[in-house]
Amino acid sequence: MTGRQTIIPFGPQHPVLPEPIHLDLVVEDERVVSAIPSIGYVHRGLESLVDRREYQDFVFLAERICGICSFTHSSTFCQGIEGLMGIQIPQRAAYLRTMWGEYSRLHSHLLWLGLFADSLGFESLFYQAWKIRESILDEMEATTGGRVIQGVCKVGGVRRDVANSFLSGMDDRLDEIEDNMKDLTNVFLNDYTLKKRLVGKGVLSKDDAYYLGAAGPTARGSGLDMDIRSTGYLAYGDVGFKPVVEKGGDGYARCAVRCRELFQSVEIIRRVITDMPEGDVFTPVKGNPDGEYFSRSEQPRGEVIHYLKGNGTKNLAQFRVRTPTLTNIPPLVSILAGCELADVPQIVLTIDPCIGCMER
Amino acid sequence: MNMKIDSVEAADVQKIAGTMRSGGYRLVVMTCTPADEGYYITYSFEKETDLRHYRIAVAEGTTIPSIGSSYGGAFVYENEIHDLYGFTFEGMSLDFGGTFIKTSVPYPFKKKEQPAPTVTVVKEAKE
Amino acid sequence: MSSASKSPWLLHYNASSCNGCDIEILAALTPVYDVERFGIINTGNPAHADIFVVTGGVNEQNKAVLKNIYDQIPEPKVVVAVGICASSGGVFRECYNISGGVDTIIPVDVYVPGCSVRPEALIEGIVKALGVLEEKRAAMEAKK
Repeated sequence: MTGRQTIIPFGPQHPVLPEPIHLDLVVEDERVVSAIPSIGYVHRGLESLVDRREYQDFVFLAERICGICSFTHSSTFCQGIEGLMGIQIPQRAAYLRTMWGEYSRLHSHLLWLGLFADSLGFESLFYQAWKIRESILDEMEATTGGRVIQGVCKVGGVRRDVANSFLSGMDDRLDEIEDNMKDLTNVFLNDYTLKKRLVGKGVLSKDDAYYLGAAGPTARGSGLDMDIRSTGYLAYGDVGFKPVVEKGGDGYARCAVRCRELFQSVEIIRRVITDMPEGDVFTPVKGNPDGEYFSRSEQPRGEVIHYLKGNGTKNLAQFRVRTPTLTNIPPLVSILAGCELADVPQIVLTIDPCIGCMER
Repeated sequence: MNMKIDSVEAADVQKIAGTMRSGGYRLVVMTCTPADEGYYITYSFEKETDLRHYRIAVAEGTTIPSIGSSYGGAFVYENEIHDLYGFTFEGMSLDFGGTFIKTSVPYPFKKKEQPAPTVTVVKEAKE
Repeated sequence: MSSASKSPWLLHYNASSCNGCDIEILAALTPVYDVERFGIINTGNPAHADIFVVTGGVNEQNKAVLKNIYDQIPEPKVVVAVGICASSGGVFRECYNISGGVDTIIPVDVYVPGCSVRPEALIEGIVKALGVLEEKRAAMEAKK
């Protein structure tokens, strides 16, 4: 049957979206034929500021690319500058960065689980997820001083050390957080209603995920063993990291990847806390960066790449960011084609869009 | 991690993308940078841990063949480079016609005599 | 105190924020800070809203959207600029695509500083906004 086609605008201001993105949904009755995204509602152009901010100050701007993945952006940027200048950061700093990176993954995944539950109309679950998230933010605040923007990374290491007595206290609190998360993920993975809405919806095949450029949980939900943490940067090489992979390729698989990653992050934090080496947390930095570098790390949403080009002055010559959401847009467009109109909000959320990152 | 960049001819881009695609590589990123003369566009591909960079040198305003036929996801990078640097790509799988990222100034990252434009001017109060 | 100020409804719009303030607004609405116990509800519909909460410096593509949403909110309405970017443009002030604070497009009644704002500061800002809302209502009544 070929009915008349209608175009329904979705966004930029939409109850399910905390951030503005606009989709033109071409529909035939209730079925979406194709979706055309348009972005740019939060484009600021912060990459152009590199020629007006010194590389050490730019860490703060890099952190403000996105308020959710803030820590990963600042550590990726620092990692790039350190790569250009050949700086080896102290082991303790690398371990602390790993710990905070995993805490921010926990807070980001819990945030996503909450928003996802909200998009499915399950409001009490949304509140539960955010309640657990607050205890993660408390740890962040106690160790860095900031809830969502930490400002703790600097070129050559980190700004603050965490006392060993405090680290051992963290371990006990992690047990409680883990228990709470078990109850939460049990609902996401086993609830009849949620399964009904997720299983088989928005299927992304393994090949499509690979060649359309999916990253992070979106790729791992389709059976791809892709995680930059496997390369063993920072302390990930020491903790024996293995990516979480699900085969389904549907919304349920992507949700399951994130649920399982919560417990993996807790495991990594435990290992890092136990093996935390003694010593300084930063090395003094002299000179200016020169050359080109691709700095890669694993954000909660997938692989992020910071391209840095130095010219021997205090300011970088060029800075480009490729964020996981940008590269997850082609897979999103492909899974939206053919879905039901009522499923659009939850399918958009399954790729965990972070528009602030995407548009810089 | 491999930081070595191979220089190639702009006309061969589609061929390289085709070889990479049949070799099972994925497209990681396309990066545009101003060079001393003209611009560089770097294509990065990866298969497992084998990361490869290919670079083409292009003059301002050139038309570049799109690699959309090999990698369906390349359109996001190509549209972005079009909107920020002013290059035209031929044969994109999804062409936004310059509306992917709308900016207040056309092609903000294009090389200029002046540094990147500033919209707001911070006025100091004179007293 | 009129009934609207006892249970004000918020409308939130992200005018090009980095998300930091947006997630803090949501955190203020969810458990621990939980302003819903005071009857403050987040709505998605401009026609239901009393208080318009805007985050982020305004960029070129957002100007029209922001003005449009503002015009759809019924009188009396209060605008709260949340975060330093919404107040003045913040760290992004010099970016080519940012035209400055929210007050360059629509009138702002309450400014909440911080990068990102803390939920406590946000709650205080909303309480200040309630005072402004009450004043505006009184002025409207007097005109009648």
